[in-house]
This record gives sequence, structure tokens and C-alpha cells, in this order.
Amino acid sequence: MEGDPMTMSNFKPNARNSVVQRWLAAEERGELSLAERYLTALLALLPAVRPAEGFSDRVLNRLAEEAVASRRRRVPLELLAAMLFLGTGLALRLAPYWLTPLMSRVALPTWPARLWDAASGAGAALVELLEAAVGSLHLSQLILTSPQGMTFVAACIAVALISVRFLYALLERSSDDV
Amino acid sequence: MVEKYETPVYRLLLRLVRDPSRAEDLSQEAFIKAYRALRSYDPNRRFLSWIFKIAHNTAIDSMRRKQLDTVALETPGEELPGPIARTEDATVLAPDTVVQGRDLARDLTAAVAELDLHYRELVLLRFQEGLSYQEIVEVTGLAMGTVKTRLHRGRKQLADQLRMAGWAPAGETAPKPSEGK
Repeated sequence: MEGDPMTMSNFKPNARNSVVQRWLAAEERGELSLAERYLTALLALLPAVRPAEGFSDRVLNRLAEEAVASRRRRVPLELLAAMLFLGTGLALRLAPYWLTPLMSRVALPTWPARLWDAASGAGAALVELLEAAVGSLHLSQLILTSPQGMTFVAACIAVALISVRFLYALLERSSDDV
Repeated sequence: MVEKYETPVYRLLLRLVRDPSRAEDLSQEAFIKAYRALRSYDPNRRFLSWIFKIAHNTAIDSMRRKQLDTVALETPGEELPGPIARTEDATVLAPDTVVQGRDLARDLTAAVAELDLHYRELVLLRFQEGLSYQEIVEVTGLAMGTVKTRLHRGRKQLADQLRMAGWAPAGETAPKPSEGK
């Protein structure tokens, strides 16, 4: 720009061409673009600042300290988790030796007993489900060991694949329409 | 990363919080957060505006926690000589011109420090750090209209401050200069 405000020889604060006065005049006239340029040059006159020597080293040191502290916190937690896991495994393995004596000695209030009954019922239902699943496995074994069974299964798979492909194409087309 | 951007980040934070030690702490915090969040950096975006956003959020969080009051700008961590004093050919400048230059730097610093915090940050981001309006929107999370309005008000406030300090152009009705000028 003419009379670069950054040139020292132009810096005459009381003369008309000083950057601060040019800026103020441009603001007064409403010349936004010119005012912004002068203000940018004006703020370049602010005292330069920078952090104290060794700033980057302090940042790196802090990062390193945090990494070490994080590793230290992780070790006890991992150890605790491992011990809990082992302890639970041991307790389950030795349950016949300690669970029955404990149950006979401890008089449980009513609601845990009901909860236990419900859990037992759920367990029984799960067993029945598993038995049904095993039963169906026998059926599967029967099918898969006969040629007719294999043909039927292959035909079902083929129909399923074709249906999926058709459905996929339909969905793609409908999303394109959207 | 730190060496390249430490000055602009520190400079912005110093002028926001107006406390050199606090500005240094916040700058460190900002760089640590930036390091942890490096994976989320979008290369399509200018790195400077990305790290300014982190610095901005860090400063806002700090101010909310500490509710910093107006603090006079103390001597910063390391203040370099101003552009007037740095001129190599000082013989070009008359002594009174050098003094006037220091007066302007002093009055300008005070005027910027006295700006409302919201205006100050936007004025610095736009006219000192050279961010575009869109980048300022991304840094501050403000709407474009709000950015432009606050910048307009910030400029007006700064202009009023400098006029009151006696820097009005010739021909303007100069307000009473501040004492000691």
C-alpha cells in the first residue's frame, strides 16, 4: 500500500499519514476494507511477545510425566483385575467345598431365596432349551446324512440367497429414488 | 509443532487472560490437548486455526473455573523490543518519533487490553493472527453474523479508546488526551 505504515521513515504520529490516524479516518468514512488493512498494520505495532525460554521442553516434559503416571496407574489396576479373575475362578472350582456349608449356616431372608428360586427356574428353562437344540441337532444330522435331505437344504439355501439379492436390489433402488 | 506455534498461541492467550504465568500454563495445556487429539485433525483445515480452537476452548474453560477479573497486563514472559526500537537505521528517526512510537505501542496495548473479552479475541484473531471470518467461526463456534457484529463493535471500541488517548486524526475534534501522554 502507498506509504507502507510499517516503514519506520513514514512513522510520524502527528502527521496525516500515520497508520493509526489513517485507520481512524477510514473507520470514520466507513471504508471497511481499507480500515481492516490499516488495523492489521496497526496491530502489528503491538509489542511482540513469546513464551519464556524452554517452553517446548516444558511441554514435552509434561507429556512424558503424564505418560509415566498413566502407566503407573494402569499396573495396579491390571493386577487387581487379574487377581479378581483368578479368585473368582478358584471360588467356582472349589464351590462344592464351601458353598453348601455356607448356605446351611447363613439364614437368608426371604427375598434372596425367591431370587434363587427364580434363577433356578430360569436355569431349568435354559436346560430345556438346550435339550431342544440338541434334539434339532439330531434332526440336522439325519437330514445331512441323506441325499434327499442335502438336496432340500441346498435348495433352501439357494432360494434364500436369491431372495436376499432381490431384496438388496429393491432397497438400493428405493434409496436411489429418495 | 510446539516450536512452530508456541508464539501465536501464547500471544493470543496472553492477550485474553492478561496474566503471563496463566497464559503459559494454558498454552502448555493447549498443546497437550492438541497432541492427544492429533488423530482428529482434519488436514483440509489450516493447522493454526485448529490449534487456536483448542486454545480458545482451554481459555474459556479456565476462565469459567477461575472467573478471572480484569488484570493489568504485566511484563510478559519475554517481550521483544517493539518494531520502533528494532529498526536498524535508528538515525532516520528523531528521538521524539521514537518516544511517540513507544507511546503508541503503550496506548495500543492498553486499548486492546480494555476491550470487552469477546471483542478482543475476535479482533486479535482477525487482525493480528490473520484468520478469515470462516476460520474465526470454526475457532469460536459463533455464527458468522455474530462474528461480524462483534468485530464491528470491537473496532469501534478500539477506535474510541485510541481517540480518547489522543490519537485522533488531524481535523477531528480531538478528545482530551489521557494524563501522562
